[in-house]
Amino acid sequence: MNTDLDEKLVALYLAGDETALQSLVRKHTTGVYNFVAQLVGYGQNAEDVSQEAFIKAWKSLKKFDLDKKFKPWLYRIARNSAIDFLRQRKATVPLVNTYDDEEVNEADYVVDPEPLPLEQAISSETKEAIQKLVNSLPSIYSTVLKLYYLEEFSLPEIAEILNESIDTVKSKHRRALIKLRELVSEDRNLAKN
Amino acid sequence: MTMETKLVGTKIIKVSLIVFGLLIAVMAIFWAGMMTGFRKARFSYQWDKNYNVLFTRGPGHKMPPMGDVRGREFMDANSAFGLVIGVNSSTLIIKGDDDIEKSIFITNQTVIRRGPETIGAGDIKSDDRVVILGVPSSTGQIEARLIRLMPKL
Amino acid sequence: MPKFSNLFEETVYLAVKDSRLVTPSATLADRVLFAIERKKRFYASVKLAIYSLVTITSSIGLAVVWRIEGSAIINSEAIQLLSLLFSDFSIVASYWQDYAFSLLESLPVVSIIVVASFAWAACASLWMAARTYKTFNHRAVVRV
Repeated sequence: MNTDLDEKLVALYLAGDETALQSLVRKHTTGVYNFVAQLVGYGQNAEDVSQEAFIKAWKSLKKFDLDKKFKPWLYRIARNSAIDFLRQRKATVPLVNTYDDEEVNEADYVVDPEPLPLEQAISSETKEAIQKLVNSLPSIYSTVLKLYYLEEFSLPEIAEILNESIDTVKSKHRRALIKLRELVSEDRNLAKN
Repeated sequence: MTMETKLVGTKIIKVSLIVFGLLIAVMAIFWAGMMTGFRKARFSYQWDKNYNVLFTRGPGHKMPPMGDVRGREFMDANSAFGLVIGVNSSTLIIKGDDDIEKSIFITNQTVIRRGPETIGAGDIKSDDRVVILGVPSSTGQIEARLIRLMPKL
Repeated sequence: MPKFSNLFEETVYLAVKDSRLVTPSATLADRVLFAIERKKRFYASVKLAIYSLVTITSSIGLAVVWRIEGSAIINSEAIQLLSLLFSDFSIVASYWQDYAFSLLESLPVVSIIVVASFAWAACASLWMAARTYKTFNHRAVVRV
């Protein structure tokens, strides 16, 4: 994914090119919407929060450091907008910062006793099933997995977006995979495949 | 060195030069103010010290009222502008708009002009309006280098 | 591309990366751009109002201040000395140091500063108002 383009578009907009802003917005609308929807739910709420996030990002664009990456910065603003939205609604903010910090047992994670097939052998049904299981995870886990595998943010970038330490993000990522593995084991059909 | 480092370096140099230039300008202006104030203060002191020697009291001569703030300002040491209230071959007494009298010493270096003509000290009359460029003397006078008679209003 | 420590993780990656993102309503991007445009216009109109007020106030102030201080400047010794530059340039050039000091001494500095400050405020705010109006008047192409 060419994120250098984002920074170039920001620089162009700051230099006076209005179409650059339009390009940026159209490029990231769907991604921001899906990210925000994990916190506030899909639908009108996610659209409203997405709009608010883009407006906040636009207001802060002059302060944006062009040496940094635009997308993590935008997503961080989107996350903050979602949290503000939930607080205004007095809804429960998903536990993104407070969770059990116990050390993960390395043995549960590193050794894979049953190696799984490679991409060529993964059927589309299997993929869909895994996607559903990912979506069924608590949002603190599904968010990290989607940011890492779908949006292809690095772990430091995810830490920046979620305003957490890198170690915390790494830990969440490991836990997410462990939880996912448990769910896969429970699904006998999936386990067979 | 990356392009970014070069650009940052250039910006730092540019900002430093501007700040340095501004500092120099401010200091120069401050120095000019100090010099001007000192010269005026010195001349005013000498004028005051020699007042009785330079000026005789009588009609047309007026001490500035004690309460007048303007009278307390230091006088211009290198120039004068006002009405002639007394004249002879070597000295001119000028009264400015601030009612302060100045004694102008006419030397053989002094050029006196009315319009395009060069005239003599004898052609200056009372109530002529003049502007004078000169050099302050140690006796509280201005040694005139140029006396220009202004057209009557 | 993320790094994988085992095949399970790689499988998860291959599955998740093919997730179809839920598409928001077709008008979301346009609504975002329109909202930004509205905000831009609002800020521009506030700025325009402020700059216009400053321009008007400083212009009135300039007129008042000029009335008070203008004659002090016009009738000052400095103006008379400046006229010598045109009428007696050669003599002034001969005694340029004394001339420079005489100008410095006779400048009605306070009057000039006061008048110049109001004039600067009026010009600067007018320029900023004109610049803001130009932005305010510019229409971004947004299809809603």
